[in-house]
Amino acid sequence: MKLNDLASGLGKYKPDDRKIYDAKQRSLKFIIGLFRFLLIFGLAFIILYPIMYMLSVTFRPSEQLYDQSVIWIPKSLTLENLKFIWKHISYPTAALRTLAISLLNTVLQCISCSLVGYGFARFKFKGRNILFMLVIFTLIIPPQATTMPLYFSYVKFDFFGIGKIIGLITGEPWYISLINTPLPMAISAMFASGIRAGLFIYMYRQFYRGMPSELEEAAYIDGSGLFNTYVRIMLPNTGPILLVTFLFSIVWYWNDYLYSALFYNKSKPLSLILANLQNELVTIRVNAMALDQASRMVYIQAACLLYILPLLIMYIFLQKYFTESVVRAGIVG
Amino acid sequence: MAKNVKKKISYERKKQYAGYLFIALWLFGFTFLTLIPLCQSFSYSLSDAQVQDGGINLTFVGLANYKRAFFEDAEFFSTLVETLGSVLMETPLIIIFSLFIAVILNNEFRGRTLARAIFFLPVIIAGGVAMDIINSDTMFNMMMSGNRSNGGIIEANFISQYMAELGISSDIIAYIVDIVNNIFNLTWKSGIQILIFIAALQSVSSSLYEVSKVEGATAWETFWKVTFPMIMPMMLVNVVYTIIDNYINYSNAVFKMIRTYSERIKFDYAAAMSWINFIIIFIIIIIVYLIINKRIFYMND
Repeated sequence: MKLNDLASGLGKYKPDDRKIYDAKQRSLKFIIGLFRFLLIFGLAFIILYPIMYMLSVTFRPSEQLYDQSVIWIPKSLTLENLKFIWKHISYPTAALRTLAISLLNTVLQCISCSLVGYGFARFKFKGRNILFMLVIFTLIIPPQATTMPLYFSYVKFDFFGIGKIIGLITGEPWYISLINTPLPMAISAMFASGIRAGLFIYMYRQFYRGMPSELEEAAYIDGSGLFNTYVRIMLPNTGPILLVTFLFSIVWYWNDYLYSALFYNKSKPLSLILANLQNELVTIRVNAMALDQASRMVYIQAACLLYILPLLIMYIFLQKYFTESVVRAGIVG
Repeated sequence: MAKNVKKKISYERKKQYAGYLFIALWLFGFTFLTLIPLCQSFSYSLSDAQVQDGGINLTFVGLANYKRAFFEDAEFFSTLVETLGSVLMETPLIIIFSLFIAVILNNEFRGRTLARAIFFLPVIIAGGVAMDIINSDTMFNMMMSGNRSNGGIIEANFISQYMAELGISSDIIAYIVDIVNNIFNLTWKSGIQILIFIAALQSVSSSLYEVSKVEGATAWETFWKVTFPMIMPMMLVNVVYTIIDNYINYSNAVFKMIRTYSERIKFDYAAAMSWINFIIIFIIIIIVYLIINKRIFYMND
């Protein structure tokens, strides 16, 4: 115990903790600190500005929207906007649905990208480099180039040609429509082709490359098969990387508009609802009256707040993992 | 003693086959979910598509769609150039800005965790639908650009006046004012880059810094001769990522055009536009990669 204390005490010694007795150096340090504080404070204000704006507008009755005497805090707080939007888009069901989509795809993506990353990292097979180039290449493709044909193949999905084979037997090709189910995005995620999957494969590959190969050799000597080694030895160590992948994937799937817009037209996830809200609000009637501009703006801000609220909550609780885990996972170098 | 030598596959061979097996998932996905749709959309772009009850009828028309996109549609070309220009101009700014912030956030000071948490917040929110709504909110824009007399948050007017008095040419003033007004935009787009740079900065071994201190290098020299070369690989990653991220963004103007066309069921033209998009961004990234790769200094070479 004493040795540990001694060692940790030594480690805590940082040169900057010494008192600087030189007046000139001390004032210099103070000025630098002040400058840094101002800079960070200013930039933090810029970053937090939209959120503050959202909060301020959401809790403000619509009459006060253009009120010039209201800077941030409205004269009277109201929950009316939130309640209206909550009912209008049936927020609980929509949010749960979006969460389910995100979670499902995230889990699938984590598993599949981890497998593929391990394959690229540890096994030397012909064409390894070219195939990995292709993995990075998938990140560069603008999604529109692939989404339209995908849509058509999912509208009449015949399971990659098996339906046609069945059709030869029964006289009519068998297909089902996969729109409005979570299946289209799940299929992509399952085959390591989800949103930014190439990035995850790259991260996993870097990570597995960094693990010592003695572990696997020891496992081989002990008679473990290759997949067994992967499951029992490599997987338990993937903690940091798994966390990073998981968090990022959830955020990206929650924010996704492109693929969701393609595959959903009825039971929509939140991002779609939000995108269409502007047009919707113009057409609805409350008490047989159309909504005026101010109310519409207030409602939209309330909807934005509800949209990012789950992400914000998750971020507030897990922000340490977001920022520190990327650094700790050692994807660099 | 009976010689019972069964011909076994060597371990190396087994690993080769196992490698293919591990990747099989991705190979399958890539072929069916990326490669084949790419070829299909390419064939759309080369033909005239008519939608007929649940399917598409294609008639081959060659490069007519591309010709129309480049020469006849004034909107497409100008949007393309505009988007491209803004992405290319913003990328160096974002990189420099995020490097600057990463250096600051790397030193230890009180409240560093909070600062990092705040700077990383844009990643959670940006790139989604909410950002677009915020950006296009007119009142928000008014407050941001300082047009209202008592609501201006970021006003660069007096800065430009002051600099004009100092005698700096008006071009530079316009450029700098542009940057200042754009800080909001830049900050919101730099979330992940800051993180990657912090990770890169922390991976530089401290023995290098000690050596440079012993040799008497100033902080400026240390930065340029020690830190900067060591983080150059990640700079390449950041540059490519910035270009991709800003291009494949929800509010990308070219994408908006493509979306409107897709919704009007003119898939062939939309496919041609997206292929042009794709080829252009591909060329840009290859050029950037080649330029930067030549100058990267790899420590482990």
